[in-house]
Amino acid sequence: MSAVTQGQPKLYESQKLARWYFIVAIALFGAQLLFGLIAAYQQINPRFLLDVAPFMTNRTLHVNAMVVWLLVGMVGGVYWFLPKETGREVVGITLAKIVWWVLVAGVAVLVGIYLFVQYGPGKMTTLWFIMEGREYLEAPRWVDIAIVVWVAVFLFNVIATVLASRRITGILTVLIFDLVALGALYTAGMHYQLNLTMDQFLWWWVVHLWVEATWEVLVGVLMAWSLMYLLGVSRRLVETWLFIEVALVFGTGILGLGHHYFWIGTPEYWLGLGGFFSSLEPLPLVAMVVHSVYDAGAHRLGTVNKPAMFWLIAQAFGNFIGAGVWGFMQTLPQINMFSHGTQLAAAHGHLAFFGAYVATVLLLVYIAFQNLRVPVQVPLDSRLWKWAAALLILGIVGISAAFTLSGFTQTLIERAVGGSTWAAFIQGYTHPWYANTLGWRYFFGWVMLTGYVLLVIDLASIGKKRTA
Amino acid sequence: MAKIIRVEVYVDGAPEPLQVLTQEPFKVNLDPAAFEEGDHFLRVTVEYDNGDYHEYLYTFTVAHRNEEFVGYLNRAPVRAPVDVLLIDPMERAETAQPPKPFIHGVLPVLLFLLVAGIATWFAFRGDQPAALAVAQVEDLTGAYTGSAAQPAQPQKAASVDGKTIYQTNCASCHGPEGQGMGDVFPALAGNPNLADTEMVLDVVVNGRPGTAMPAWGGQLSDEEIAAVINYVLSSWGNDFGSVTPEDVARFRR
Repeated sequence: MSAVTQGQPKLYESQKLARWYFIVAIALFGAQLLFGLIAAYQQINPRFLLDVAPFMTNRTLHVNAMVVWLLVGMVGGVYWFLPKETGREVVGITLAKIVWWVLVAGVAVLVGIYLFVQYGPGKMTTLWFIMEGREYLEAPRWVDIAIVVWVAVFLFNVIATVLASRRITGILTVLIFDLVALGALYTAGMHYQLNLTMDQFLWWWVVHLWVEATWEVLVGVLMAWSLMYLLGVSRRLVETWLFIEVALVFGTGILGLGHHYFWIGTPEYWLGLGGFFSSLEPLPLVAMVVHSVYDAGAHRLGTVNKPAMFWLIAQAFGNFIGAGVWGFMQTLPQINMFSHGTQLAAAHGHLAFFGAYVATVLLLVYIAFQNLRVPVQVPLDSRLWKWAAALLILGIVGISAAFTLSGFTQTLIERAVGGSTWAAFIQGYTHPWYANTLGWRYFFGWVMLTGYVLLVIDLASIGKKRTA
Repeated sequence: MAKIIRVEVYVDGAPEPLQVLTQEPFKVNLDPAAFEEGDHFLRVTVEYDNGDYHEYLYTFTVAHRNEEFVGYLNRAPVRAPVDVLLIDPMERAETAQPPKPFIHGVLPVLLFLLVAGIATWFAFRGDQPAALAVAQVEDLTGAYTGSAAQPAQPQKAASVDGKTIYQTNCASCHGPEGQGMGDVFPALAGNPNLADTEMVLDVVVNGRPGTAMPAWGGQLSDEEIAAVINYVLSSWGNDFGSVTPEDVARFRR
């Protein structure tokens, strides 16, 4: 392919905004890896940076950066596809841009607060301005409000654009109602409760219903658009699968929430409800695998964008293995009684978030970056993306394997054999099966970081030096 | 309704367009015989009269069999307006379903308020049943004993016994026989560092930052700390002297 014209392609304003979403998402991905790597090293040497940024600070940053960058990446994907879907510019795009830059500034301030303030006295001012202290949702209340405003503006963009385009599709209907749940459920994490059980009860609405229901449906929407773009799959086919997946995700995921209510002081019936519905939760993930692999096979894997196609298939399998299999391993109450709160949960978290959401966002990023510079390279391909993908996947598999092994040791030695005593806790933590995995985690963290660097180089070079 | 005014078709990355269409019908007809056998791709640019501009990527495959030239489009982009087979989404919009203002506009807002409202209700009223349950349990206790339940009195240690304090608070890490555990928890039996009783007093009262050793000054009295230190200094073959409660008091900050 010879270079014809250089310069900028004509993009919708919404797609230009999406580009910023993706750039910030990829930058935060790097921050997440960095803080994760420091946290992994602090497991080996707890004195490292102890007085500057202890483990808990790094873990907070690691987890919060992940939540933000994945959500930003997926919202960016919607801003990318929405004008194509409706055939017009997104309504209220100026407002969306203002809110976006306010949000970026807010995230920067928040990182500064996490790093340099870290904690405050037990007063309401701390809750509002420094940190709420709830695991994974540490963000202070002003950030919570900013996030709800952000999602509300986003929802307004989508609804107004659909109404203005005078055209509705099945995918858009699913998107609108999913965004309603996405915005509304986040408000549940903003309430301060004296009763710890009540606090956890609402906290899981955000942590579980967000991630295991509304995010999965959002991924389904983005996968539908991506399959149509990458393979030219017919709209009727992707919409049929999307409806099946939505029915399964909400059908199993809402009451599957029960697997978080086993041991927090909620009534006993949650054991049965949670055990039953959460063991059905892998079903929609199987549907996604069948869907994407079937479509890819039917279209002979030929595509306009090879890295995006790879991440699409990786998403299907990663979501099923990480979220489905690793989740099912510990979701039955009989097993969870011994395994909850061990590093098995961390193994599941790492593999599931990578498989389900990191792969999705990387897929969207590659689709967008293919179209950012003229001439558009078709099919998009390079040697570097393969190395980046291989190292990222090798890294996450290694990290998850190390977590699985140490979680198994905790479950067996600390919980099942030792009966959860302090001495058994020490025995578990000093056991070689646990202690040796700390080094492996750290090593595979470096592998992932290497993959990330290659990914950034590859993305930066798309449409520039390559001549395919 | 925006109308297409110009369509350009580029094949396999060629610099010059293969076809340029400036009037109806905007349909790209390609002759398979004009292409090599194998996979090809198309870049189609579309300009509308309202200034909109789009680019679409297609791939298609050509096969030559028995002098018959077969081409089929195997990949078409999302809602491509121009194609061998597809028609413009802008034009198709007339036949597509329009959104219903209530279902796609008002209902989402109502649902948003409903879910957020339920979360708020739970936040402010959700602990009421739990509070009621506690009250019921207290009533039952009263019914069985004939009087309101007495809160358990915290038990005070009758006498200060260094060995008991050690087994309760220290043995889980340092071992029942002072043997320690792994590299993390140092052994106390036969540890020559214990000869420095000032250091021992400081570590027990104030803890050792950056390690698992907690500060006991807030939890144990001077007498208890002195007793447990004396137990450690004189047990398991240790003979490192003794300390007094007054020594302990000196190290409290």
